[in-house]
Amino acid sequence: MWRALIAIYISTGSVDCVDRSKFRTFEQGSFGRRYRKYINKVEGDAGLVVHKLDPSTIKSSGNKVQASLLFANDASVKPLLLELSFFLNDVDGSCGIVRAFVTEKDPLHPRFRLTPGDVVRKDEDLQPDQVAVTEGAGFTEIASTRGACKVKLQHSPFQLEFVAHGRVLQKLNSRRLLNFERYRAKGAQAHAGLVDATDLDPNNLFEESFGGHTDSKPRGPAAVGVDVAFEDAVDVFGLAEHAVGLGLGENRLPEPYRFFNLDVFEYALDVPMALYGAIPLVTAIHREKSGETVASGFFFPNPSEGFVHVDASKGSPQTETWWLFESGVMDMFFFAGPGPQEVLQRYHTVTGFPRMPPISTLGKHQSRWNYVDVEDSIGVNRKFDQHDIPYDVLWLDIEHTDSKKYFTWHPSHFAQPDKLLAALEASKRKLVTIIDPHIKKDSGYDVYNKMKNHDFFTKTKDKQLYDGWCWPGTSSYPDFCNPEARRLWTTFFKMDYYPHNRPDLYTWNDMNEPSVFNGPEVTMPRDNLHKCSEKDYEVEHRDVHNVYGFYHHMATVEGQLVRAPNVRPFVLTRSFFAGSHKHGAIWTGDNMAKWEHLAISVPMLVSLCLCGASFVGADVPGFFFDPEPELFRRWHQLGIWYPFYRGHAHLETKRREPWMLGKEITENVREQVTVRYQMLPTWYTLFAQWALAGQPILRPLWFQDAADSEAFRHQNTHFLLGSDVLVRAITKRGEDTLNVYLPSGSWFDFWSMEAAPLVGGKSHSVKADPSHVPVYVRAGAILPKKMRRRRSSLAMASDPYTIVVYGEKAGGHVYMDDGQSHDFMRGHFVYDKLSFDGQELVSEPAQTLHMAGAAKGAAGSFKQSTAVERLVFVGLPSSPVSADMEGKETFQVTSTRMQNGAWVATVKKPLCQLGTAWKLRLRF
Amino acid sequence: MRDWWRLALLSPLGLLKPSEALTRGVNPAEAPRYHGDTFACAEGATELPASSINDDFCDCEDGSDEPGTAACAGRPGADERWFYCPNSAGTPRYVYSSRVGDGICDCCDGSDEWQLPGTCQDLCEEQGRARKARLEQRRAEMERGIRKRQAALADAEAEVKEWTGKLAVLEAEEAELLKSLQARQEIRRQKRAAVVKEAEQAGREVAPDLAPESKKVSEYAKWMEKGDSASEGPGRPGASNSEQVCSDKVCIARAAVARRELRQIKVKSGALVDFVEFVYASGEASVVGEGKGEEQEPFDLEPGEVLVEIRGAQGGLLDRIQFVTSRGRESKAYGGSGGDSFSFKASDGKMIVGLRRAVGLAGRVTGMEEALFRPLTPAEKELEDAVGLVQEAERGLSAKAASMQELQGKIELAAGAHAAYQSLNECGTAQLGQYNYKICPFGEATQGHVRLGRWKGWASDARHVGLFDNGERCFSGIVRSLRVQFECGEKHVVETVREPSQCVYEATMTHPAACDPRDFEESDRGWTAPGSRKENLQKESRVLEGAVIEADLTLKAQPLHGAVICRLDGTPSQLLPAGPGRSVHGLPEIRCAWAA
Repeated sequence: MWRALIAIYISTGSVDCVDRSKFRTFEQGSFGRRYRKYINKVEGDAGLVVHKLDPSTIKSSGNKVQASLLFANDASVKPLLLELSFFLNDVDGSCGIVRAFVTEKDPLHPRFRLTPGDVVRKDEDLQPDQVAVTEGAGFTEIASTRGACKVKLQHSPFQLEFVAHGRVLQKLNSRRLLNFERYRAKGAQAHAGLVDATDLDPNNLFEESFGGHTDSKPRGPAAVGVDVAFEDAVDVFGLAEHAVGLGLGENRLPEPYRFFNLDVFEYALDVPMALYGAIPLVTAIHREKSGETVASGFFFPNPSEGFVHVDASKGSPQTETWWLFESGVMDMFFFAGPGPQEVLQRYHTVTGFPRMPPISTLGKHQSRWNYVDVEDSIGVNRKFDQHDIPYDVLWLDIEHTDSKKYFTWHPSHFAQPDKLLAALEASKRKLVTIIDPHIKKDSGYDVYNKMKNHDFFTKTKDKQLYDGWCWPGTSSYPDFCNPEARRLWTTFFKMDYYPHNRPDLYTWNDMNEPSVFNGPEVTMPRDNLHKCSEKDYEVEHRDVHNVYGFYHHMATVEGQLVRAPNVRPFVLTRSFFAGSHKHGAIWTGDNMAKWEHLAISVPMLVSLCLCGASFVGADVPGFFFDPEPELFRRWHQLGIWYPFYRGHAHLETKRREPWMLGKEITENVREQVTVRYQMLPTWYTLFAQWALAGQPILRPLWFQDAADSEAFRHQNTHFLLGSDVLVRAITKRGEDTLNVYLPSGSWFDFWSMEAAPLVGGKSHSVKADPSHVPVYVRAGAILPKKMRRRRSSLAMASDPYTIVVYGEKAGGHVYMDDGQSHDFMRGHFVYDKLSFDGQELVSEPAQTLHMAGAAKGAAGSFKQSTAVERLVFVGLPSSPVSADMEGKETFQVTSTRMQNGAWVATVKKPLCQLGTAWKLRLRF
Repeated sequence: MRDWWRLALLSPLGLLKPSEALTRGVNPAEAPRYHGDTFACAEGATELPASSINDDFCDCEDGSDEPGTAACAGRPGADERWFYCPNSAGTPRYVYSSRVGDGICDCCDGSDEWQLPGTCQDLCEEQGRARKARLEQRRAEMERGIRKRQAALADAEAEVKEWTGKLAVLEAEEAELLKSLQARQEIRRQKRAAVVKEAEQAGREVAPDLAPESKKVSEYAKWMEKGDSASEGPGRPGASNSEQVCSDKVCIARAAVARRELRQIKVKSGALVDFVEFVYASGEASVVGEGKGEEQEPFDLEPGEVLVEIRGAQGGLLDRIQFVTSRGRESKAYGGSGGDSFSFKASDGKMIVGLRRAVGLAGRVTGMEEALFRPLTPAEKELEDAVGLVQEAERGLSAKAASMQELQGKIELAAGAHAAYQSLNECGTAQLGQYNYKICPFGEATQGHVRLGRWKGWASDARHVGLFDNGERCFSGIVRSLRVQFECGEKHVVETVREPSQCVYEATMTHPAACDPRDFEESDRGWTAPGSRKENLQKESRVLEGAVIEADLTLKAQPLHGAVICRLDGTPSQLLPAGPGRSVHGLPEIRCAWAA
């Protein structure tokens, strides 16, 4: 949410593009500059050994192995500690999670390590995988006792191979780029030989400047870096968030991908510049000569500034990467496959499973910077009803507060928020208010005073209260790294603290990179100080920069839980880190109403989903600038297929609620939003499968079959919703024919029951319909729907289901619960498996989702209709004459002919309930 | 069934006694359709058993089998189907099918939530009473406004009569002037032919400044003020016969123009030369320059004496200027002492009659205008006189046209759709929140000291909506604008001002001119709900848009997908867009109009 203030700041730059000179490139920082020299040095000297493992130090116990890494060129330097831990996949108990932890022994300053349980779950909460250690000639093998997962450690030069599925998947340090810069005193004696990159470039170790800001760097150099090779893999994905294509190697960027969470004004596309969030996870698809594929993952959750270079040179069968962070420890994870789905299960095993959102937040969101006042907001709510357009959540941006003091209301414009809250409640809708991290420096502001009195604000390098500029003017920034500060933050959400609060008043966390208008790179100085644990302020901002937003988000979610423990929280964040999926939704920040931004939303969102964050969306139809009508409608047509679908607008844009662009567009948006709501049962099932079993919601086109190499070529314009719904974005103005690639199988047109199915495994040229983007459903899918348009998702609670069966043999799931509470954790849910064999449609309880625990779902334990009003069978070879429930009740069937001569049969009111077992037979 | 609406009146509910379940959500006018043993979705479609009606399952694409449930809500073909709330203690109305059985009370009698007994109460009577009281109050206010408006319109009518009479006189005068002009143009043509012939015989060129049509000096001076660079480009008057001349470092254009008899030169100057004014014998003057210089002693030319040289000095600005006559007389050197000196003499046989200067304070001299100076031949003299006469006639004619236009404008305003606004023109003010607002129709609208806009005109897409634009520029660069909805009221009061998006304002203001008695009479006669959109389509060969009309004293409706149609005794109103109407009890007000 970049605002006018900053637009003025940099107005000397180009109008529609980021001012890149404000942001640091790889070699503008000293640790990048010297690492480049280190890479050149090592690569130029094939015999150079910097690190070697001392086999005599190997100790193993249970699932852990420890060893020392010696510096070969200076025996006086204390060795590094290497610790390997093996864990099991929480979902299926298989092996294939290896944690490799490297740090220095007896550091001069404590090296920052994330508190266990925050980003990565505590060791004791993971299932250990006992290991067996075997010594070889010049190497040591550590193998899982549960399966064929192992690590091979080469002693000199030190190298780690990760082996699973009968093959070497990844090699760590095979290029000898390991660089571990130990803390040292200023003026310490130089190393005897090459120990780390500082030996090649001793400049700016203790101070450096950028853009008029000086970083005092009192603790000196502390970078950590290493190379990782993905064997026989040219397709690598992840590293969200960057505004680039999905294939990381294909992008062929001159600079490494940067991780440094920033508020980038009008961000550029197809550049490796950092954006608002960081998920240092890569998933690789390894391809055998036979065409078979295996997936693996590498995860390096270091929250300091990072750079990841991805080199998938043409012709090379593998992808080489290197990873460099400014400080902290090397805490790395190797994940086995065999598919990308299993990689994600392991990632979620380590970082935790997502939070199940309230069902309302899967509906349409309506935001604007800013709805002017209570009357305006109520008017917007009423207009949706007058136009019969469903939506669920109204959003209030910063202007709703009293002088940008969060947890307050504007004294005149929002003097009576209860009127708005009542109007929303009457239409079964919700409200979101924005709560940014910057706290106005104002002695009359209680939040400020409380934070200040508890000494919970971030400090300067001199341990003084840090002041920065943001919306309210001079502001202080809570030290969200401090658990006590987070605890105090949660109390601001209590019913008796935040005026006009409601148990389901949701929150939007913006500007939490954090954005500081007058700070270096629009954020806070790296030498600022945090207190992340009991001890005094000893963590530098550089150590934790990329988790500032993560902790702000986490504290806000905890605040909502403190307020109402059995109401599901909803918090949207702009800044995020690995693990933010546990807290809530993420959006891609301040995009623009431009076709290129619509186009980039596809790989950006799919990339986030591949990084475990599936509750994601891009602002429709672009935040900055006024969209042209065609862009407006195409973006809504695409937006209904985003997991998080929000309309939003910049302060200086024209009003753009769905009815503002004429009748035709209003009707189109109404129809498309209706389709979003009709698909809500499918969405909700997908969210449950994500939250409870780690399955991504949006998936790249190849996700179900990575052997389909053609599918990779269309991954930036096509995506899958779940496994069976294929969406093709329309990314250009005036596109009237489109190339649609369908993976193998047969595909039904989502928009037309009559259309003949298309054969997959090839591209089809299709006409672009002005009213929707192309969407196809895989033959073999079963989709649960609710066909009745309502005002909002909660107004649909008593509506019956329609089950649509595609093809002669099909299967699918449906999940439901009360949509609002945590009762599902106590077994109050329904999770059914539906299968059709050409004659019989069978409903039975599905295998329980992983995290739902032992409690088995029970229908009727919550207030939701479980009735099925209609079964639709698409693509039957002949027309059924009737349908009955295991020979008992008989139901009316009506059939219509498809263009290919097949039939669509509709069973009227089959009198069955979801959550119960039944068999419905079609009679031909 | 041409008059379906009348039919509704002839078929009282009590007579038909349909099964409640089958006609739930059905307008009584439509009820017969739901009485048979079978039901067809559309004419000629397959018959369904009557049990399909309101069985909470959507059988018909158009939703007609489920008037009383939400089973068809959201079907693209069923958008025309609504649920009919009988509201027996109040006024019947339609609601969207999507409202039925969603646990939210939409009909005042709660009939939309029949599936969830106990959810709603019948509030029609209570709401009706409160509404009626409000409407009565409003009605009194409207009546006062209407009286004011009618009085204003009567005054306006008298004025229009008077103006129309004046206009007729002016038209006659104009015709006379036109005749005279044509005659003078003919004389000029003859005289010019004579001059051309004479020149040919004498073997000399026709004097250029006698050949072209002359320019009006005042217009030319106005044009000069427009731009600096443009003043030297092609396309300016006389530019076709101008040439570049230089004197030391200073170059200017020398342009041939029509003869003018120069009488006096007035200068305002200080250290620089700000204004130079050439006063001609005709009484007209050409002023070139800008600034605040002091007025200097003018330089007078004697009869027969003409200007033949200008001297001076300039850099980026005109520092000094001096004039020299055909008799060798020199004016005072006006201005200061800086700049590069120059001296420009008129071409042979010519005199200097004007100056061209760059715009801005003490703009430098960019050109001088020359006219023929040699004694005119008798034929040339006659042509000059003829040209003068034509010019005089043209000036008279354009003055006449201007006064006619003004009068016509007045008549149009006074007799047009917004006539009453002219005669009842008054500014509305209000203090709303932290601001004082002032909205002056035909003038300016302000918020405190900030101008929101200047009067632009009436909106073409809605009645009683005035537009203001060209307000002060906002911080972000957007130029403020305002849209004002005038509403019937006795006084001029700004009621609401909103800023729905940055620097785009919307206001409502009461104005007696908005009290159109037709609106009031129509609302007085009462309303009823129309039949389904589909039926209307069948009965009328025009496209009708969705509407939910509430029977009430005022005209209130929920605009659906764009426009509204109202009916009175079966006569459809004009199709009106469902623009942002005034909000009455949470429903936007819609006006329906009938041709007289």
